[in-house]
Amino acid sequence: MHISLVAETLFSIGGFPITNSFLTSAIATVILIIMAVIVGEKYQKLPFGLQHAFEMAYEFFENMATEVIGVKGKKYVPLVVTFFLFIIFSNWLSLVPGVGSIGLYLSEHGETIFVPFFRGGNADLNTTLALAIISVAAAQFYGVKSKGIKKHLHHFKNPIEIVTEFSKIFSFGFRLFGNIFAGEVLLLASASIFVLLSGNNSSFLGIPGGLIQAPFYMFEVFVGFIQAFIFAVLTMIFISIYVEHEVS
Amino acid sequence: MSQVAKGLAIGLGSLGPGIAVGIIGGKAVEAIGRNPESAGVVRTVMILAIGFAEAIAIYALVIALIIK
Repeated sequence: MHISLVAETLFSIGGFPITNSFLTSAIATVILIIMAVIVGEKYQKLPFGLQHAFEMAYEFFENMATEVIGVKGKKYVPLVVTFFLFIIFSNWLSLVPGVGSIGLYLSEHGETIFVPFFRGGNADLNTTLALAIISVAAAQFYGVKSKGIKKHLHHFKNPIEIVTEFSKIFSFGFRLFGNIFAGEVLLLASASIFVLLSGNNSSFLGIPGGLIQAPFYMFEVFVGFIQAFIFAVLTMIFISIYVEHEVS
Repeated sequence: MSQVAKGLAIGLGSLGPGIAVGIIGGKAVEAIGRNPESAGVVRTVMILAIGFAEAIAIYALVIALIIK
């Protein structure tokens, strides 16, 4: 059973390496764009199914923003909802059958390893660190834009605060990466448990392994939603720390 | 020896978060029991706090996976 911490590069386009995680993230983006276009075209006052789902997500974060920041909080909601939707689609796409299991056997450095064509979008530390950096940088940017740079630098009177910002980036990135990557390893290990126990490499032992995998699969669906939710809510909270609140 | 290191990393690293999640859940249930109307807010805050606690266990798991 071979697990690779690093997402494998499949090919390069003009010197830019395309990994299997990147492919899955690109597919998630395309699906989101298609859904956004559909909902935009058929927008009705009385929402239909897909529009209803998106409105539920948007209104949850809008209510939270108005509760914490006030009416001005509404302009921070699109970024937060984008994080939520992108992360939840990336996470759930990594659970589609075929992702992580369909691939090639390549031989590198003398041993054959299995390279899947698709891999969870957030199972790559690069993606999650990028999202974390955008989230923390957005909080800083909105803080400066809302309060002015002098008042913003008051927050950093104590130099420990700068370390706190970097630790936020670290914790955001590793929380999301760890949950999704560990989920993939857990699914792999639980499905191949009979193969590991008996040492017999027959692929028919994967069938009862799939039954063992079923509760872990349900747990991963739940974890995918929770991690997206936590990322979005924490982004909203960190933005609200730096932004001017409305006194009500 | 590195196998022992991997095992210890994740084993000891998930002691704290395990206890933490238990305490958070217990306090949340207690709060809902006292004031059933606040169930929605308490649930949201509890999930957030559990996410924070889980992250520590995840750091330990990543270290365990990295060790050769």
